[in-house]
Amino acid sequence: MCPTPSHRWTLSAPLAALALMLLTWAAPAASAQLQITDAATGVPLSEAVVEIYAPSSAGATRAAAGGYQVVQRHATFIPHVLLIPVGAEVSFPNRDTTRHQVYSFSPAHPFSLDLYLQETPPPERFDHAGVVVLGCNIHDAMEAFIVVSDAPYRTLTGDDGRAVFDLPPGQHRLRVWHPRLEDTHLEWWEGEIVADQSREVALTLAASLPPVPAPSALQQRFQRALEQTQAN
Amino acid sequence: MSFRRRLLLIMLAVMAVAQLVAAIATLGTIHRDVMQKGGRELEVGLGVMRQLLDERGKQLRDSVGILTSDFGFKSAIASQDQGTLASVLANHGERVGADMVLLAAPDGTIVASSHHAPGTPMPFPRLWRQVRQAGEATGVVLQDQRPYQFVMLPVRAPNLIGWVGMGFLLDTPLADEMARLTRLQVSFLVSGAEQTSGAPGDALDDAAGDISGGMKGYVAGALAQVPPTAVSALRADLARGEYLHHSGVDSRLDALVLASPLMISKSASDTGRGQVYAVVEHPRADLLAVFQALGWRLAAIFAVTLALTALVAAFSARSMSRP
Repeated sequence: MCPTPSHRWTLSAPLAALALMLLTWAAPAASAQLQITDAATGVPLSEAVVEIYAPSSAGATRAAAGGYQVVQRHATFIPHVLLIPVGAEVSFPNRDTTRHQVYSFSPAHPFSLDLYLQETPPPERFDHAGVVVLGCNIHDAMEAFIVVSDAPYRTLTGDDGRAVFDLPPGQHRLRVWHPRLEDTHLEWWEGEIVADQSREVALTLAASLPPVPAPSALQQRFQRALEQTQAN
Repeated sequence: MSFRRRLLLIMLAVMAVAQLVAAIATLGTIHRDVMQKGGRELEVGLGVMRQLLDERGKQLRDSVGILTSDFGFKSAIASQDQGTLASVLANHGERVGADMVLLAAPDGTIVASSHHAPGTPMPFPRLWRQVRQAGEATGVVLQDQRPYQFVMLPVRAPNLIGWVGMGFLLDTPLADEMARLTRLQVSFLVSGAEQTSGAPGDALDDAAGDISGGMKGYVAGALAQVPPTAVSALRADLARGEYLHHSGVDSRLDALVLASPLMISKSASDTGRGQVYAVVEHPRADLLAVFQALGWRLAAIFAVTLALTALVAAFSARSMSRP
C-alpha cells in the first residue's frame, strides 16, 4: 500500500545527472493534467483528493505547517473535505450556539472531543496517513473528512474537477479519493500517470447509503424555539 | 281411489317437488355464498395480517435504527474487540427483544453473531441483495428452519463501519395476536427447509419425512394444535401451489384455508432453502353454522306449507267434488 519515500535519484555519474537536469530544464512544461469526473454523468467532481507518489522535486506540494481548521457552523463541518500532510495539526473551533462533539472511529486516527462550545479544545495532531471520517455524536447529519496524505504531490479538486502537477519525468503511482466513492469512505481509486500526460479519471461513485437528511423539521422547530428564548 | 283423494295426492306431490327443488336450489346457492364469503373473509384477513407484519417490520426497523444510532453502540462496534462486540450485541438485542443478532463487516462477512460463526459470508442472500440496493432491508428469513422477521441496518460513524441485523421469531404469541385482530385461525408454517438432500419442492418426500419424523418442520399458531399428519399434508398441498391464490377446503383440517408465502423474490438459487407461509383458516363448522340453521328453518317451512297445502287441498277438493 504505502509508497517508498526513499525512492530517490540513484544516478552516481555527475555527467548523467547534469544531462538529466538539462533535459528537465529543457522541458519545463512537463505538467500533468488530470480531469476527475463522475463516470455515470460525466460531470466534473469537486472535493476529490488526488495523490501522486513521485520523487519530490521543485514542483512538490508545499505544505502549510499549521493553521488547519474544521469549523462547526449551522451544524455543519466546514470544510467538508480537508487535505493535510502527515503530522499536521487541526483545530475544531465551534461557531454555533449549540455544543458539538467531534469523533472519528477511522483506523488512521480514532479520537473524540467531548461536547464543547466556545472553549476550543487543543488541536489534534494527525500522524498517520489515511482518511479520517469526522462525526458529531449528537448531530447525525454532520459529516466531514480529513484526508491525511503522505504523497509528495497532492491536491483537492475544485468545482472544475481539475488537478495540475509539475511532475518529474517517468511513470508514477496515482490515487484518487472522493467522498462518494464507496460507503466506508476509506478506499481509493488506484492508477498510474506519466509526467506530461493529460488524462481523465472517471470515478464510479458507488456510495449507496442515502445521506443523512439535513436539519429535519423537528430540529428546525427546536432551533426557532431556542432563538425565541434567547431573544426574550 | 276417490277423485278427492287423487286430487289431494297430486296437489301434495306437485307442492312437495316444487318445495324440494326450491329448497335445494336455495341451499346450494347459500352454501356457495357462505363459502365465497368465507373465502373473502380469508382474503381480507390474510391481507390484514400481511399489513400487520409490514407494520411490525417498520416498527422493528425503527427500534433497531435507534439502537444502531446509539453512540455507545457505535463506539463498541468500532472497538473490533470480540468480547465487547458479543456483549454489546446481546445487550442491545435484549433491549428490543430480538431473538437473533448479528454484526457484519461492510462487505457482508459475519463479524459476530448469535447464530453464525465469525468469518462466514452473509447467510441471507436475498436480504443482502436488498441491503446492497436500498441501504437497508426488512424481510422474513429462515435460520435453522425457524422463521424470523429480520431487519438489517447500516452502522454509520458517520461512514459505514458495519451492518447490524436483528431477527424476531415468528412465533405462537404473534400468531395469536394476529388471530385476535383478524378473528381467524392464524399460523406460521415452514415448508421444505428440512430437506438437506436437495429435491426442492418434492412434496411426497416432504410429507413422508414429516410423518416419520413427527413434528419436524416449524409450526406456530393454530396449526400447532393439529395432528402432524394433517400439517404435513397441508405442506404437500402448499408445495403444489394450492391455497395460495384461492381459498380451498382442506378435509383433514375440516376448514377453509388460504396461505401466502412470506419470503419474497424466489429466484432459482433460493428454492432449495424452504419457504415460510402465513396460513389463515376458517373452520368449516363455523362457516356452515348459518347454513345448517337455515336448513332447519327451510325444513320447518317445508313441513308447515305441506300441512297447509294438504288442508287447503282437502277443503277445495271437497267443494269441487260436490255437484
